[in-house]
Amino acid sequence: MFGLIDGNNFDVSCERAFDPTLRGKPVVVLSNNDGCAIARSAEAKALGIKMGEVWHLSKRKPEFRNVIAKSSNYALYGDMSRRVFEVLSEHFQRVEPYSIDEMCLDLTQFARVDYCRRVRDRVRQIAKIPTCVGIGPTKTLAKLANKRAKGTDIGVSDFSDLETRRQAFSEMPI
Amino acid sequence: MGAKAYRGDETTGFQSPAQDHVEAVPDLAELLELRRPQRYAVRVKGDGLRKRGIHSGDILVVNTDGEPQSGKVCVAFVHGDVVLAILTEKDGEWWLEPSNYAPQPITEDTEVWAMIAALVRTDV
Repeated sequence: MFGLIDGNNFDVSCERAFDPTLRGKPVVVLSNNDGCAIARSAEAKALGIKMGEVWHLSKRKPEFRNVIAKSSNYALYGDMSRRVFEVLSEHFQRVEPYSIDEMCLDLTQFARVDYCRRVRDRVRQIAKIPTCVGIGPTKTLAKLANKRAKGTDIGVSDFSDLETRRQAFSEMPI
Repeated sequence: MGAKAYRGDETTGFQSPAQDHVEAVPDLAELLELRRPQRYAVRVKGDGLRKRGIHSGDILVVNTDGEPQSGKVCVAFVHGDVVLAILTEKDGEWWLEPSNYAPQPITEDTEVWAMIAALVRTDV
């Protein structure tokens, strides 16, 4: 069984870890040279800002006037990714970084949902990054479960059971 | 420039009697446990906690997994500010005593971000 943990709006969460004034506000992190919005807080998504939104064209739109835009700080995001990885490594035998904010976990030997919830709390405490975890029999299904975990209170979704998967798939555009 | 690190085992004259005893330079990152994920190095701005021996310009090593203890200094978020504060427990309730604010009860508007673990001063 695999887990897929990822940081929610990772770059924004890294910025928020050190800056309380960004909490509860619409925040975007921009790509190199401040070109496009590459990470959006939940509040920014709610305003309709799209992934890759071209910021110099969009920033003057009246509905985006209160959006806080940050230039990307990859030294920071890399360091926070390292912290997440190290916390996970203390809890799982194998952790495989998939991208800066996603890691695959080997869940073979663990009681699943409760354990993942506890690890998620540890990541939040130590690395200050909110995360979600998907669980599934393959990495792909774990990734799908992760998508499902977004927006839930416990932040963990378990697709190890076939019936659960059938139910979830019927509600997904696949 | 470009010289190899000194190990004491490649002398051209007399063999060094210390060659088996050369030690590495003290590794402060190791001593301060900076490689652990819960350790963060932060720079102090302001002299608000000088009474606790913390000066402007000091580097604090803080622990986001540190146990909150009454009387200890922490990094806290108070009304949108990042501040150093003394954490205190009074009658079962936890308070923050920042230098630039009145004591604050710990509520939704405040957060204990990390406990201070060590201090580095480079300009003594």
